[in-house]
Amino acid sequence: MKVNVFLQSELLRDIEVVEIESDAGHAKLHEACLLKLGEGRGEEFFLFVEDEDDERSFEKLPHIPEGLRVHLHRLKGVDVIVRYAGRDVRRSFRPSTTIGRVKRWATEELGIAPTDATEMMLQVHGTDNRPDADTHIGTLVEAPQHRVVFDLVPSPRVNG
Amino acid sequence: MRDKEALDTHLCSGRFLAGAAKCRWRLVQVQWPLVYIEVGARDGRRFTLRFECTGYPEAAPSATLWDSGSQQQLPAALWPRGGRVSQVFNPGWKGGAALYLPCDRESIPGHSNWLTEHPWLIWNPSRGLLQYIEAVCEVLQSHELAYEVA
Repeated sequence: MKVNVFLQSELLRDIEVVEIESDAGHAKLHEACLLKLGEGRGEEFFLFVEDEDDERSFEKLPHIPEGLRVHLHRLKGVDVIVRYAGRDVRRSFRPSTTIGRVKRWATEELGIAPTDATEMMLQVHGTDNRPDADTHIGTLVEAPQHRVVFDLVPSPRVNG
Repeated sequence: MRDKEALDTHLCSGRFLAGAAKCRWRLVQVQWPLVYIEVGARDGRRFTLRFECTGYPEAAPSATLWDSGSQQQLPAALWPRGGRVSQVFNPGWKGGAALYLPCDRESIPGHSNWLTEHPWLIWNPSRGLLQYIEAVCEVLQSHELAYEVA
């Protein structure tokens, strides 16, 4: 049975859909994802499952589930810094980590209550880019760059 | 029909399909130039947005809340409300014909301040309808949303 896998990568501008047999296995999925990057990619790319820290999380999957979300990146980790009110918190995440998860971690580290956290967003430092919660941080960092800095900002109040 | 082709491309994009697979939104139907998209709120309610997309994607769309059963604008009493949610979903703005967002065609005129205050929400043709949908979804996840029974 064919399933759709949603792929993000440092080298893709948007999410790509990879259609593959559910019993194809990790190697074939990796190969199919690499094809989405185009021909002639000689470098090594690692494939990660969304929001999974375990590099071998594919081995736990008996088959490829419909709607699986994955990420292809040349790095195994991205250094994240989140700045807020004169403080900053930092740690390394897999490139497949979503903006939503990074925000949950950062607001917890900063001692912000969950109710207040829903009224805040991550904005890439020095830009006006506020990525959607489902965006993988790996899409914001193209190797050999390995760090992304966010400002934690209030969600917009459109009142004037 | 280049505008409809552009819309179709965005509705078939991986980003739209990924959000739909996660039940964040759902394409209800396209009746060009009208497009109906259902989005989910924090309290479990689902709202249908009716987008008017003439001139897409160069021109921003305009959206209202829609009652698919009666085929008319959703009654004001059923609009989501509370804090910043009520700012965006304001049935008193343009008679409810548009949402109060910097990416809504009908709300842009007279708001040059939005260019500097909300640059992230200014209509961007390359992001297309997803920009509008993601902005609405973000608002509907607010803790300021007044809960109603879904």
